[in-house]
Amino acid sequence: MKNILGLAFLCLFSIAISAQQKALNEITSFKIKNSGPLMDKNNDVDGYYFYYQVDKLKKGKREYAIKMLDNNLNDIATKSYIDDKNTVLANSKFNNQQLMFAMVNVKERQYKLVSFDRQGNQGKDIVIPVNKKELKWLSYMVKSGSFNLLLPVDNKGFLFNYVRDNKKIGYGLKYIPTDGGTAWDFNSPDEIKEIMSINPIEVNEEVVVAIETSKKSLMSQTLKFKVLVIDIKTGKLLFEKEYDRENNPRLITNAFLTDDKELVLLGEYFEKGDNVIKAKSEGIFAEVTTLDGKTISDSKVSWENEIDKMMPADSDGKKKRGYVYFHDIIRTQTGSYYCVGERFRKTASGMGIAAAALGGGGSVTQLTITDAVIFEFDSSFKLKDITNYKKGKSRAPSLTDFGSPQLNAHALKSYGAFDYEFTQIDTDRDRFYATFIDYERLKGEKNKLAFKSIMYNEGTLSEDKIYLQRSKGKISYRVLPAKLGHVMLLEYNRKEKTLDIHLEKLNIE
Amino acid sequence: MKSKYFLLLLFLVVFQFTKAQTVVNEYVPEDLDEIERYLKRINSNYTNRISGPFSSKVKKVFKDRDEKVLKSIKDSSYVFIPEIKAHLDLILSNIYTANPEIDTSDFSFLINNSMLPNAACYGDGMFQINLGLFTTLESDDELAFVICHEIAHKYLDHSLKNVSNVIATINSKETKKKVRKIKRQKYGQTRAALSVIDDLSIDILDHSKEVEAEADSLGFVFFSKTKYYKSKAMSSLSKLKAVDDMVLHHNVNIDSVFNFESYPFKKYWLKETVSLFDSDEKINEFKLSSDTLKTHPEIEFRINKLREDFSIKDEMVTGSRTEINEIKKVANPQSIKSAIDLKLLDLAIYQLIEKYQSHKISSDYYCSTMAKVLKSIYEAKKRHQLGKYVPPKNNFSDEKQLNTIRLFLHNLELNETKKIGLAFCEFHKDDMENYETMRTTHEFFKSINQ
Repeated sequence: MKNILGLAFLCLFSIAISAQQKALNEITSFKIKNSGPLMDKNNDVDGYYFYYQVDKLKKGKREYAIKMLDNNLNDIATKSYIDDKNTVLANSKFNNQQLMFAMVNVKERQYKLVSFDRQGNQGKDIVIPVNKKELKWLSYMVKSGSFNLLLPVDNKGFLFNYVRDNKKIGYGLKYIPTDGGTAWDFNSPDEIKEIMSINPIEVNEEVVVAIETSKKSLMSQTLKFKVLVIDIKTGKLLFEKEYDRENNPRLITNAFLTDDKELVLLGEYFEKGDNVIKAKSEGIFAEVTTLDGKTISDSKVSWENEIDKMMPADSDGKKKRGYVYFHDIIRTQTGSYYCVGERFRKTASGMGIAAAALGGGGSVTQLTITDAVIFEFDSSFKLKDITNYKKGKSRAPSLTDFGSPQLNAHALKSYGAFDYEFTQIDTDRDRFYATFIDYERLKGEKNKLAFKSIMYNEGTLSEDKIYLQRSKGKISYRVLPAKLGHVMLLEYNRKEKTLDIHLEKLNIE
Repeated sequence: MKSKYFLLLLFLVVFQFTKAQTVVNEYVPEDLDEIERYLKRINSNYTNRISGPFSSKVKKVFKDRDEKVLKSIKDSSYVFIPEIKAHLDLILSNIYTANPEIDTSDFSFLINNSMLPNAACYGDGMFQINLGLFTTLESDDELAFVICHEIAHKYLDHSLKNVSNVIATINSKETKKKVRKIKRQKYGQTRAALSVIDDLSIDILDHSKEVEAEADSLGFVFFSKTKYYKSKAMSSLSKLKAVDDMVLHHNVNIDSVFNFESYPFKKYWLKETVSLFDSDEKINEFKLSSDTLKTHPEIEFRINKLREDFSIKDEMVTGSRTEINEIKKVANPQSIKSAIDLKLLDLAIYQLIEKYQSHKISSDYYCSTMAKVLKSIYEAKKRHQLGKYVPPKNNFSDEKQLNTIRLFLHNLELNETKKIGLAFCEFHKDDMENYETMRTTHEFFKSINQ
């Protein structure tokens, strides 16, 4: 906007660039390797990265460019990065002090943590050697969807979660301070007899809360869960609590650390002896403990006695609860709890039956995913309300006809069979945004894909909807996560071959 | 983001044009076909005279340029307002009469609806004067100098010389040799190619300083023969220097404009998010040296050179020719209208506040138009489209005032927008009772606030 007197030169300059002939243009175009948002534990987006290969260099090296956009989509930095040709950018996070990239080099077999300070200066790389087996397992874990490879600790450091070959497969949790604190490692014991993994799910300036999972073998479907609370300054285990199948089977979905230095664990509880992966849960629980492991309260809300009585009919008018898959549980600043889930049923698959009749394989059952539901609990975890949100039906063939619907739902979750996308939590304004992609079947008009948000604000829930497809179909839309309360909309005009990217605020009425 | 913004503009102007097919308005002249034919003819006359090395390539550049201008006319990028055109014609007539040696037979001046104070010479006889010059400059004398500068570019055939130079440089044996060498390189091809582009760009941009100074000098010769005050050449350049530093420099005080007793301004409407990097400028390790070169030399340098070359003294001019002030009465609202029509709602708000506070538009116009803009903002937010029309705040932009407006508009929530709209209408309702537009907008906000 600053060129004065004479666009002529601008025109000339653009000619100069376009007329460098195809040769120069082709040579100078960077090849994109991958890209993604920089998200924190509340799914707030700090920015976006784009990883390009720029040049081939000698001795198998490559020059890469890491382009970073801020959370307003402004291009803020393009850094040069030289590494081996097999280097993949696996994840990136920001902790208000540094930006960290987790690189994986399949050939040289190493993880590399590359950091940049707020001025854009590259810090000293941290290299962690890795073997082929560990890399394979890490890839499997990341694909499963519920694995935090890199977790930022705001204004303190980063946690890097990786796989270690401890005779059987184990884990390593590495803390990298950015505030001058002490680095530490918290690893699974050497020579373990079980397959173990860890997933840090909550962290603050004092502790990290992680779920340790173990099973005897790869095929075993019996999992043992432990909650570990680790001192963030020293890496010492403060306490651990086991939720074993025999005595206290539970599936922990979320953990919260309160300002009163209490730990709130949330999830589903099961009958003694039940396998949490296969069985139908007994209800939902909220367990509050001190940071040294003493239980303050353990509230349970059962399906049979409490939830079923309050469960509204679904959009088909069916009162029967069916199953609910919980994606997230949120604790608001007022102490209330909200569980975000989707209803599903096990139904017969017409296609599957027809295929079976013709001698084909595959399953004859499917999961029919229907409405979204939000359960509201008060601060003492008493069920206050359940709200049903109409959503089009999605169907996903069961992975096995013999497993329970829960087992299938867990498996299908990692394949993206559910309509749920993510939940953003705005702790400053005490809001949350649970988002879904819905395929609306509309009478008298073409069906539409819609991005739906259920939002909590000042004690009430409201909905917002963005259609992702124009009915005439010239423009196709995609939605990507953005900063709190926003979405990134990508509009691709197939006819004109143009891509328009913009951020939009979700509307709270 | 710039190209995104451009595409958006393009989309919007195309839309505008489609809408305008049935109703002839300020963006679509009644004699559109005649204008098209004339521009094609002058372009053809000009390109037919081009000869020499790479002439076909050079001709193509000018033909493409003409096509772009014709498309821009159809896309409503130009305004055809008789009062403004008549005023411009009067200034042109004064210049032409005083400079009979200039062959103006193939000249054509179009007025672009951009609010930026800028002008351009396309080389073939087509000139572009932005609406922003009519709203920024303070006298006909200043505008006449800018026009003389552009005519000098044409008289000296700068455009043709530059295009020919660029094409010759790009297609030179030396460049081709460099490209071939890069293609043979096994390693570091991209960096080497970027370096070639950088050298070419520097070479091309290097000439800009002397070319602009040359146009200033000859432009001043043309200008000094007219009845206009000579020293206004200096004040014209000084004004453009001020906007070169920051185009939108009026302090809009958004927190007082939208602060109402019934709905006070909220501090968090101007709250910023933490950026990944704490840097005043973009970090770019692939930046070319030519990126730092300005496409136009510093105006300071041009002012000093002109002053020295022609020994121009600051005259105490008491009566500059201020007929332009009458045109401003048309140009100022038109500049706001163009921003609204293009859905550039941030620019519309800036101009409304700036022009109202500087007494360039009336209170009635300000109130009814601002209410209309607030309604458009509400509707764009409701449809999740505000981001298409208003870019987000950019920490690296020099346009601080525009950034503040953008931050405010993006931080506002839908329910807050409707409350602001209502508070604004309520605040001004007593003065605006007799205005139908304002009453309609007020009713709209009342209905959605129920």
